[in-house]
Amino acid sequence: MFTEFFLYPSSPVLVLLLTATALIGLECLPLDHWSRGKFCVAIGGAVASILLSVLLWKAWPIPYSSVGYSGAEAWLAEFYRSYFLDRQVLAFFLGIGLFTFLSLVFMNFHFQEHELRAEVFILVLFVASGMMLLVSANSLLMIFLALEFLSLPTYILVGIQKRDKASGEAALKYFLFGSFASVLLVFGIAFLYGRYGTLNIPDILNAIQTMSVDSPTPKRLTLAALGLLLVGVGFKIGLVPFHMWIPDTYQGAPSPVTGFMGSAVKLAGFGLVLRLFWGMFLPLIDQWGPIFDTLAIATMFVGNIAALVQDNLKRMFAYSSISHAGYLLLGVTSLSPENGSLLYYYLLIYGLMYLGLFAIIAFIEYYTKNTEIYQISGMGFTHPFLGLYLALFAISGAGIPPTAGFLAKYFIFLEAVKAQKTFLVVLAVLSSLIGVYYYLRVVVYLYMKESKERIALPVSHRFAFFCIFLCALSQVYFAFSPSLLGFGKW
Amino acid sequence: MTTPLLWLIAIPLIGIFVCVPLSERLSKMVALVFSLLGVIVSMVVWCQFDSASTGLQMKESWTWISSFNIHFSLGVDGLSLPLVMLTKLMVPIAILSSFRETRKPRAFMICFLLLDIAMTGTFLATDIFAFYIFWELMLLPMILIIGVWGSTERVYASLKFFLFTFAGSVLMLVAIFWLFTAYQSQLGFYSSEISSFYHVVFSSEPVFLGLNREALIFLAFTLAFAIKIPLFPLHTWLPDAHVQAPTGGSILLAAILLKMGTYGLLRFSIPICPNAFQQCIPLLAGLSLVGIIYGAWVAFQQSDMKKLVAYSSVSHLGFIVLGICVMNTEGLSGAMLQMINHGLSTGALFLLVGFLYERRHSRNFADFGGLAQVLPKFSFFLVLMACSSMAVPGLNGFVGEFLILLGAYKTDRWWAMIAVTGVVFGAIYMLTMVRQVLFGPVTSAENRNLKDLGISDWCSLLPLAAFIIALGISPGFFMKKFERSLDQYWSSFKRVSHVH
Repeated sequence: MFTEFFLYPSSPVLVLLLTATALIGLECLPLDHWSRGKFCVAIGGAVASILLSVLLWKAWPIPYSSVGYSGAEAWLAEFYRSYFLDRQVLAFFLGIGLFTFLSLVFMNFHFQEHELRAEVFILVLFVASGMMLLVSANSLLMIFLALEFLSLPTYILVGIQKRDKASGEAALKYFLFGSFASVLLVFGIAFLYGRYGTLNIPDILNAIQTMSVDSPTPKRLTLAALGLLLVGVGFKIGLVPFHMWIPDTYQGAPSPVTGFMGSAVKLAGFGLVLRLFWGMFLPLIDQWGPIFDTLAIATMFVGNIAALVQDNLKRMFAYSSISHAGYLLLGVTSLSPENGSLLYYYLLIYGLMYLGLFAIIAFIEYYTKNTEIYQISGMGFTHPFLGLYLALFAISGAGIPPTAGFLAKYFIFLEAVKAQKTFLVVLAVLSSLIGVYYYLRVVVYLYMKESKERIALPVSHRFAFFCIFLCALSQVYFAFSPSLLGFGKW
Repeated sequence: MTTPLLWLIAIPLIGIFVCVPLSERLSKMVALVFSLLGVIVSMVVWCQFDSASTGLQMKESWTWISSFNIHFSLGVDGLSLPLVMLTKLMVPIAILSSFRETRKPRAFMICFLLLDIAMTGTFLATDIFAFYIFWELMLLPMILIIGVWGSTERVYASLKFFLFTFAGSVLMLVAIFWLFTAYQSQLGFYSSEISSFYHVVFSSEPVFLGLNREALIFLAFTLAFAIKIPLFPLHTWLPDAHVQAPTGGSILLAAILLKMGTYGLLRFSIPICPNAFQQCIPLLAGLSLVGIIYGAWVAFQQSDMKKLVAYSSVSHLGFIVLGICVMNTEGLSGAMLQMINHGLSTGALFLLVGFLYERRHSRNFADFGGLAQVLPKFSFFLVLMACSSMAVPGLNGFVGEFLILLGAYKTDRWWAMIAVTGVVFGAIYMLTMVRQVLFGPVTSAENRNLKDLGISDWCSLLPLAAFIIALGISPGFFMKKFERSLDQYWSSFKRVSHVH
């Protein structure tokens, strides 16, 4: 019972927690020169988590998924009420595991001389387990706890370069905005609890469903809770007009941390959106759909237009991540849980693109301490491979064929047209037309500008290079065999 | 060789992978060899093509995204066959013309091979998704060719080219989404075969600005193609791109990329939205007539040879669109022939201008004069190509323009009369250029010891000249391969328009 209904279904999360705890234990021992070993332990944890998620995916449906409230022991029933697993959640687990693995590799490179190198691994593993708990939460309380559990280590990661003022500022801004968003979320959760007397998501869904059958306009308290949750989530995933913290935080944070936040944390953020708005508020889609659509369009345009005038790579791609949140949000309102894998495909491709991109920026930042766009002048010829990868990431981010980024956008837009949102799609493609300009600037600098001085980027970390190669390969490979990414049925 | 069409795309792809590890010098040779292999395979396709059948031939299909019934499928018919042949002919010529490039030649060659893949794929794709992928893929090598190997204003020109073309194609993308959805809701299953969208039924209620769905879809497609053609007044990217591009880039841009627009009109806009096309004919024909006169007039004003040839393209492409708009077989045959002719003669003209520029670093008429005495072989080819471009009887241009004018006369004699003035203008600007560059006394001392055509120039000019003369003397020999498809085109279209 214990193994089958507790250990097995929660193993991907548990293994991450255990690894992080083990690393804390190792930190207490006098092993200062063993950071390579600690890195291996952290990587091992991430890999084990990925493997366990794959095992669960293959073994689906496992008996856990059919256990009822009554058939199990009391504590197990309680666990079941707060922890939820299906193939969608498992897919998110896989994505989180993968992004964590890649982030660990890139951070290991970037923080190789940092005094807190081992702490970085511990923090990342904690964030990863928090994200997994978030996307698998079945209770609003669990959502709040998981959100805090992932946010606090992220604040630290952003500010981990203690002597860097920008990093400190970024961390403080992120912390203030993040805690404000959490407050709004708690407030919304409290309203829901007050209205329905439960924190369990399926119960609330049932209540809303029966209520919406009785009276077409929902009760004011539910609407207030919906609004508060929407704003809180909007802060977390960086929707306009709640995006103010993103450029400063993404620019100030160390590059691999930015990559981690833009890929994994965003994936988890959208996992939260799906849990809340598909899992709980789906009957009220007439209320939140138009709001999300408006926010999506605003987010795309603000992100893309603001990115046009940036000369700092990190800031430019921070704005680009805002615009991507807009496209994803259009997917949230246009897709349904049946074809949610299209949204997941977008998240995964975008995340891999973002991680690879910021890994290269991390290389540049590490060696030059500067991430202005002129740093990459002529890099396409002086560093053919890194330049090619960077160009590929830019093209994929812009959604130009034949990259997976195009397919991701294609299917989101297709579904939006199917949902009778042709006008929104016209706006969305126009905003991506604006966006193409700054992505192309990257290509222009890479290939069409002469480099003033050759940046030396020594190939000392072969494994990190290999992982960048994998990210770049994924942008092409998944364009040609997208069925691997769960197109079709979950 | 069971699947020749796939090989047309696979050979340049293999070429790219072979080029990557090679030295800069060797990669040029390898790229040339692979592009010539493409020529051979295209001849096999030409021979295997059954001229008696009008549908798609040599179809091949692989499943790509099964849940949306998207396939990677290729096929060739009378519309695409001549353009594929032209592509495969022009690519080695463009590569050969770039042999003397010293800046990163290997990357240059890879760009050409990538462009080859994209162009061939665009013509061969019978699946709308694959078509769109190839259509956009074409932009990437092209902006690199212009932006990396071009002249001084290259970055501006390449970005302008990209943004113009991309702006058109994103709206086409929305139209594709809509067609996809409409097909699925009308027939109950997905299909992304281009021909399946010919059966989508449009409701006539206005949805936006008083236009109905069919008109909107037509406009979205046609905008993308009109930018590519380029139809007046969307042509402003063309002179910049042509003047800044290196010779090889200009050749492919003029010879192949512009034809994608007219090909797209014939393949997508007209059969998918026949009624909207009929309503838009006055607009399209009017713009093409303006383009004919305007392009010729502006070309006449130029003192830069490359700009002159670029603007002459605007004029010539106006003829092609006019030939499509007249909606009869003569016009269509003329348009089809003129697509090939324009590719051959303009390609050759860009080659010759590039030849001069390489030796004198100038394209200005004023720097030349009397070249006929110094460069007799060069001058022969320049006169020949100019004659072909201004439709001298006996050369290919005459047949195409004659057929277009004949078709135009049958539909509306005023169109023909306006267009004929474009022919006269064409003679004026071409002859002006020829006179100023080739004849008269040798004015500049630098021009006295220029070297005439080398072996590689002969290799690229001779096939072009051969085709120009052969098409002029016996167009029927080539036309009979695809004339049945063209005969069928409007009658099948009339049937479709009758149904709605």
